[in-house]
Amino acid sequence: MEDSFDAPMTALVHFDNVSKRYGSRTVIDSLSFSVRPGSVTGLLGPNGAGKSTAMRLLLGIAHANAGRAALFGQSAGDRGFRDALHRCGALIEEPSLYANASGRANLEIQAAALGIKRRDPRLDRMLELVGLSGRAGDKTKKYSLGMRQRLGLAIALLNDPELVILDEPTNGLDPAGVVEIRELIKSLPASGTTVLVSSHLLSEVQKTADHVVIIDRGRLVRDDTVDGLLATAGSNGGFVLRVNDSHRAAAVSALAAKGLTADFSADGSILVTGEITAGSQISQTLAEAGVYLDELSPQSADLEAVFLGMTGTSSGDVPGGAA
Amino acid sequence: MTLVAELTKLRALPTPRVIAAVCFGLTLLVGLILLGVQPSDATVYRDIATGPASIFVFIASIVFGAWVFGVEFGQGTLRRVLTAEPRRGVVLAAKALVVVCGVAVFAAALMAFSIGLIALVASASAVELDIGYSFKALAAMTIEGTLFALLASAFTLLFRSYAGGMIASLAMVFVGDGLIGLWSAVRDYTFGASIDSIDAAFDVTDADPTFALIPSILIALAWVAAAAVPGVVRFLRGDFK
Repeated sequence: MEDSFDAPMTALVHFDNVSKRYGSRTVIDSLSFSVRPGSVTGLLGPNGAGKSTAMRLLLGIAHANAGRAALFGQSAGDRGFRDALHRCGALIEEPSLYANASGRANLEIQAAALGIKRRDPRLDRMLELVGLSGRAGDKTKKYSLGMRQRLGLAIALLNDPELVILDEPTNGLDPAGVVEIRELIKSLPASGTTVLVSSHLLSEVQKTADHVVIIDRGRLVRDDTVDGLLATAGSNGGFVLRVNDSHRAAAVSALAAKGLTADFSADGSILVTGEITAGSQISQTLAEAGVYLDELSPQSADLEAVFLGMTGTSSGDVPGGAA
Repeated sequence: MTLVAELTKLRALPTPRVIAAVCFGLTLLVGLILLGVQPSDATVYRDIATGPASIFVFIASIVFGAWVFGVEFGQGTLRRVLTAEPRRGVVLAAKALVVVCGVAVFAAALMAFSIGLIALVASASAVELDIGYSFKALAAMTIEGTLFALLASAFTLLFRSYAGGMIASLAMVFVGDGLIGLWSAVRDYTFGASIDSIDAAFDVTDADPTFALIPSILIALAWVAAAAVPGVVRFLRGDFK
């Protein structure tokens, strides 16, 4: 599904055969992928897949044993790496905050580190954006995890970055907060910000990302667009239909007679697979058998199914995995 | 920018303010107690003007020296620092500069406050404070406080822990130094011996200086460097969570 683009030259993030070991344990294994400008790229993988480590390598917080992780073409140790870092914002794992300082003071410290003045209107704008204006004066040790997460996002976005790297940004947020952050992430490309976001919440990635990189045990499993992934997963899929309960058995018999496989689902629907050229083929078959449809739709694959299929992870290992 | 960020932390985080407030408050309390007692012996005023403040500077220097580095380890903020300034040597240099300048200014200010306060209390008892001696003690303590703070910073880097840095520094000063001093060949070259030598060089003790001021400072700095090297190497090359 990759279209041709010169990744090392144009990608904001480029992993080239990167490996990272801690002792004898390989956490990242010859990982290669790119993040192209203007996209929201989801980095997906089960627990311990190496998502956070990959992000730390990218930001120079950890060092790769082999390969090159580049940000705007610059790796840790390159002369231009500092400038590259200043063009991006990051929220890695739990937001790192000074607990005894207020939310605003935390922003001011980051602003000073980035050469932004204390009274710059961006500070208030960021607090407003993440809904913390009213609590900006409180010490962050009094913040809930969700509020800390929001402040972490404000810090990541403070310098109007061209690229923002977010590791589990919706951790600890209530449902309304999740929606707000999701909308915020989706809106970033419109203002020129590319996003690399990791999450365990597959549904969130499906709703926010247009590109997905799936890794497992530090290895690249798939690098594709969300639509491409779902299309691949759905290519062998069939149709889901609903009929009156009293006609379900007749419907299954009629479809089987035409050589199609029809299975009852737990939710009362019937999943039809086989050589189906169009939905009308099913409706015609059922009509001829005197069964009339209440509902007919193509079976839609979700990212969770794709993810589980590719990583061999059990659904129990995928927190919030329901898409 | 990194230095500005470090200075912003001094303003934004409470620990430096609390350290300063406690030290100045205790010094004020000492002055008030002395005002109540009103001794007539001038040496009592001289010793009170410099003694308690020296102890406060010693403790505050170790706490502050450990805090400047330890705050990042304790709160997991180092990754935030390093994503703003990936040149780790620059981060270390900025923090070391804040330690040196911060402790020097604080030590000088606290000693000056104590000397001024006790001089005022002494004048109320019609006793004249030995200002010359007091200011020599101020100069000695400003240098020694800075060395104590750097030692605490070095141990904090080594152990990547605020508490670990403070405990190791106190253990070094009160236990390790004495044990090293049991070896007669290095007795005059311990960290503690160099501090004593700095005092003697400023003529604030009765002892004769083993070394002149600059060699004494260099010996103490060599101990700081010995403690700092493994931590600095680990900081420059290591991974952070």
